[in-house]
Amino acid sequence: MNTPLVCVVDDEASVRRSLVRLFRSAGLNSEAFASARAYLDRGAYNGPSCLVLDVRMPELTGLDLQRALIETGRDEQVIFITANGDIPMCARAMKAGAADFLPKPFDDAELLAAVESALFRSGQHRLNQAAQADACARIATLTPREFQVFQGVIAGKLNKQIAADLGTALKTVKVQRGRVMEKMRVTSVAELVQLSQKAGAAPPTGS
Amino acid sequence: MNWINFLWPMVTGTCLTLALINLRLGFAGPMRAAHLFFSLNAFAVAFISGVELALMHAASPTQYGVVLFWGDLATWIILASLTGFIWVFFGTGSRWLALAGVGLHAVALLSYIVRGTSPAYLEITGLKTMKTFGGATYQVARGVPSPWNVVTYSAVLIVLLFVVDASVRLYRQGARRRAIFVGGSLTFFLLAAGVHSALVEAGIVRTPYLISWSYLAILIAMGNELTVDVCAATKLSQRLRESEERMRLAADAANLGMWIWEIAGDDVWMTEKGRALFGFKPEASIDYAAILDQVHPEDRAVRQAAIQQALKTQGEYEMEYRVQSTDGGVRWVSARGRCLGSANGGGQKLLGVSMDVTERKQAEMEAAQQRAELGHLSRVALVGEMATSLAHELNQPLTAIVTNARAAQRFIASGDLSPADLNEILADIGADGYRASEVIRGIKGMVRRGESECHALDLNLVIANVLRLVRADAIAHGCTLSTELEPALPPVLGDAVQLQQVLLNLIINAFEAMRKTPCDPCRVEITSRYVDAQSVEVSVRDFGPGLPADASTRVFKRFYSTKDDGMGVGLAIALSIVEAHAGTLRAENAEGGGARFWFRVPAQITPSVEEAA
Repeated sequence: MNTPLVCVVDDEASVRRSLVRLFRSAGLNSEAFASARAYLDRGAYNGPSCLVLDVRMPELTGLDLQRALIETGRDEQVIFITANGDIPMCARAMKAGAADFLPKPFDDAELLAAVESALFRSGQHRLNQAAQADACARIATLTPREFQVFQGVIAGKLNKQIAADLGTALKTVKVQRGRVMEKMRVTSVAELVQLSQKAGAAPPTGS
Repeated sequence: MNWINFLWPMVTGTCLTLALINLRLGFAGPMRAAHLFFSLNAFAVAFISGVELALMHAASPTQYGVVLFWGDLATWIILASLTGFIWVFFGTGSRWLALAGVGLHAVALLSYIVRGTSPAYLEITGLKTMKTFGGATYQVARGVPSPWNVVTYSAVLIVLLFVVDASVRLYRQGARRRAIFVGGSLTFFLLAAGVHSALVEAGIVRTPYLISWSYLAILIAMGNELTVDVCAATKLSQRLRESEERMRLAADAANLGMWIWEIAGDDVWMTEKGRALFGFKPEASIDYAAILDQVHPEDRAVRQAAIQQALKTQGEYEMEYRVQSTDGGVRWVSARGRCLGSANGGGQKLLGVSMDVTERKQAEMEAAQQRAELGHLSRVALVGEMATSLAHELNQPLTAIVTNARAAQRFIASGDLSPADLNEILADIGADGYRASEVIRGIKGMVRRGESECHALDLNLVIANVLRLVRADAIAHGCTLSTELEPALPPVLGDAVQLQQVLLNLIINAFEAMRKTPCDPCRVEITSRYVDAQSVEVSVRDFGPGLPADASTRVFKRFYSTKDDGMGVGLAIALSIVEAHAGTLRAENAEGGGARFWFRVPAQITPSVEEAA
């Protein structure tokens, strides 16, 4: 996985420079952008990242950028900074999933803490995403019949009930259940349930 | 008793009296030249009367001849003074006829002197004593008439022609009564005197010379006419005095002080009101310096310049200045003067009226102060309206400063700070600190309460200052600002803060106009340009809904507002500011939608530009 990256979007050059400097002093990599448009043009970063975003900017505002990111399916951790944080704006930003909202001028420790935790969350998020992808990939290897057995098992059904539901012999179910545990690389039902949860409530259906 | 000895001296006496009276009038009073000619004429007639008496009592032909010569000389004086009198009194006449008549008579006179003969006769052979009624006796000459008589009588005839010609001219000019009365009697009696003396000399008529009687009649006709003029002048001067009195009453009633300054004698005459105004005692004599002493020291130079200008151009002046009153206070005087007479012609004077306008001036100053107060309050309100945006504008550099400082501290703590890095950080901090102070300076300028100060201003600089203040506000309103500025703008004379206020008002109004309706482009265009040689224009155009019909003048009215929370004083104050700068402020709908507000103020053309042009 790539090193964490902090992106700064602020129309004010001096503020951008000072933020980049602050992040460098804290040992963080950062990139600065003069406008929302420039940031959108950059594309998503492959690695833990967070966005330090000024609310009030000409043309596209910080809130506009946040909306655009959500619409294009990007889920950056956004920390808003604003010179005059009014409550309605703050509420809108937080509702739209902002990680934090800091008034200018901010306390450096506070900002760095917010950035650290956002980066951590971003990393976690990326790990979760990786786990989900892994789980989904494993589930995808199951045959349709095995998937049906898998669904029965994680629903907490007994082999007998599964056999009755599928209308097959108990013996067949036992063999298929063994193959599911093998393909999913788990040894217990508890692990299997955990993996299915990671894959999400609605796993890709093979049926 | 010989009544001749009684009558002729009476004629002499009458003529002398007339001569002396007119001599006196000739040295003082109007129409001096006419009176002097009349006086000379009367002296000559008096003399002739004496000559006639002497002729009547002549003891020998030789004596008769000598006396006759003196008579002829007096006749010449009469003709000369008569033509002179007609010339100045009628103001018209043929110069050639006058010179010819008087000249010809002089030639005849000279010929007698040269040849040593008496006039009229080549030779006087004897004297004959004549008797007339009442037992009076007189001498008459007998002799050979002189051929030179033709010259003498021609001269008289030419003078007669001159009189007739002058009378006709005067008649045509409209002074008919005078032409008929004076011209007619002169013609008649000249003719009578000439014909009669010719007949006497020819021996056809046996009477004494009656020249003096004819000329006495002429004198009476002339004198009568002169008296008419003197009477008219007297009446006129009386009427003038009455009119002056009326003027003074009116001036007093209107609280006007009147004065006349005789420049040559440096003497000032002034009415009571005027004296009271300047603080002079009723009997004190006043000169120019005394008045100047009463004028407020700061206004002296201006007043002197205005008066000098009026004297130089023979024109008028009008100004207002302060006078120091005796109680230590200051009174405002409005003065108006006119120059009469020319400097080289002498008798130049300055006439004027002065009025106490202290109360009006005070009211004006109070109004100006209130206007300034209102302007200040509205500026404060404007800055208040922009408070959030201004706080943002101030917060940006402060944020950068704080962040930079913290970063530096962290670098130091980690021992990772190079001098070059530190230098860069400190440079940034310094620049941001300066930027913050600029914002504060801008705000302070706007809310500052102070006298309006006029300087030569670059309007582009005023625009730049305002743009710095409204930049954040534009972003808050989601508007962009664009400018199109004429690079070589001539300076204007004005108060920077007040003009910034006008521009700020227009720009904030433009933001507001576009807030109500969604618009595209959401832009405010600010332009400056050189309209013509005289003025500079600054315009603010928005892309909002534009002005409602007939609102383009109403928007400038006090308490008229299209804003829900507007007080409606902003534009009214902006208008009063622009008008105080001798400019105009207008509103109109722009082509392609939106409203356009512009103001024009006079450009200050520097001499060098004028020379270059």
